[in-house]
Amino acid sequence: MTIFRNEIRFHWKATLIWAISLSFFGVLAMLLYPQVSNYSTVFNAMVEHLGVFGQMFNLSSMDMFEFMNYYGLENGNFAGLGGGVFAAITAINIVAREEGRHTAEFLYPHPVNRLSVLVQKFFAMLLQVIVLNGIFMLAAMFGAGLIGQTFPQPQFNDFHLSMLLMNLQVAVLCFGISCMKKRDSIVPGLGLVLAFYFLNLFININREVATFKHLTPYYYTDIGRIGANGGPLWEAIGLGYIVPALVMIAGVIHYTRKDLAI
Amino acid sequence: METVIKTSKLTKRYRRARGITNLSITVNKGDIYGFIGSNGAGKSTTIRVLLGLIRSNAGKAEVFGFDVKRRKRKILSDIGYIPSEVSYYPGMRVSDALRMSARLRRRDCALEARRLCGALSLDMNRKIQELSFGNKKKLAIALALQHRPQLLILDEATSGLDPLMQKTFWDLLNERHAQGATIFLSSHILSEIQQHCTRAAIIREGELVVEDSVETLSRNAAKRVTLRGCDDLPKDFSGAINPTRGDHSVSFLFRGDYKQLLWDLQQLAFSDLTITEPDMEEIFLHFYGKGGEQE
Repeated sequence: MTIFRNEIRFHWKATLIWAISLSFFGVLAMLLYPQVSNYSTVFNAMVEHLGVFGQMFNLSSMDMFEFMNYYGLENGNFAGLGGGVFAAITAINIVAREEGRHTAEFLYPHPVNRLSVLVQKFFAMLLQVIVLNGIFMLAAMFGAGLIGQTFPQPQFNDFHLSMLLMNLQVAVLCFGISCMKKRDSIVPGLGLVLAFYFLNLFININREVATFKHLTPYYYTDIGRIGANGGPLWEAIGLGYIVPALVMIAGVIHYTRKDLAI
Repeated sequence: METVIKTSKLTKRYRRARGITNLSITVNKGDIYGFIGSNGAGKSTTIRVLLGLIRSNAGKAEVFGFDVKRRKRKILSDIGYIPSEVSYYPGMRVSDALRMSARLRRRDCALEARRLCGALSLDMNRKIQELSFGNKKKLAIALALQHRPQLLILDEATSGLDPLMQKTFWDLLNERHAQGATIFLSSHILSEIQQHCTRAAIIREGELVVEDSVETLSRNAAKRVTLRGCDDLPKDFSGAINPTRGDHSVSFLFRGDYKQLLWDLQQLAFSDLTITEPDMEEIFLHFYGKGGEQE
């Protein structure tokens, strides 16, 4: 528990700052909803002429002025991206920084098992991602209350469950990579999240590349797809976790056997 | 005699660097063991293998009679380690680091931590990032000693400490040694080894050069011979290592037949003669110096 506690102790502030920042923008976007919905006919007409840009965000497949769709679209984009980036930068260095910042020479001469260190760090990472998503969800409910709206159930829970699973998929993949890295750099994590995000936009534009849909977790957080499916896209979620899980298992095996770079 | 550290033909190869080759050393209980070598000789590699931070390619390393690959946690619970360069988690205070280390060892070391910080004049409430290099080193010393380990492994431990603090450090180590702790000290400060250690090993380019008591090393290696009133040695003078010419004097290390030395000296004209024990610095150079007799 010492390592878990240490991780949480030194990263709770960052988690809180990220959660508050994302929540602030989430609530801000929701406060715009009453004004935007007044111009729904104008906006719908615009969407019809957006062409590729409309496709990119799946606008044509739903009524974006329905409150849940509006919320899912706005927050699916910036909170989805922000949450993904948070998950990536939290996980990509959580193991590697012990070597990158030479604290491995402090930690590992203690009677600790490397696997136990990884398990504690993994749960600390999970907790941070869950807290971020939880705070964002509570802020969303607060924001909806401010404008006199209520979220339809179970769509709201389905959407946030998908968002949480997307964040965790990114985190699991980055955790596995972190076990194999020696330097603490956030670049690989950021690169992956951006690649996933833009791959989803690309799939939305060009359906012929939909075969790559299981490579990006953003595919199953799309509010239009969740609505059309009537719930979370479990098949996509399940298939999406295969590669991250394999990378993490490989990373853990590698880390428990490797020479520590000090 | 009980053995605390034993390595047999221990070998560690890196992809691009040499590491250590067939290193066999023995550290007995109660030893203050000096591990001498220049930078890159393989001292830190040996220590990291002993601590289980890296794995050897061949050979065996045992601490307290346990294989370091199999019983790492058991071994580490009774080791205190001071690395050559110390890094700590950001945002921690001195007390946080001490508490974290104690928790990782599942021991209550609060009293001893306070005592050590007092002896080392280390403020427990200071943030570690605000500490000087020397004070960070003091914290490393407190971390290594607070759980009263049976074995202390010190990698260039006194570098960065002022002479007064070095004395305090050695007082603490001697106190622990008197209580039965074994000390394994890697250093290239030879006077430190000579002054404090009972046994020593010299490692060069990853290989053991010699392992013996410090007394024997000092006695057997060579003698320092200085002749005054003499400008040079004849070319056929045997056994002189690295003769240096000074102001109307010649000095050289000698190892060989002393009767022959006395006979050869009789053939020379000089006004004064001194034959002294060389210090560890000279022994070190003797084993390390290019063209030295032991090369």
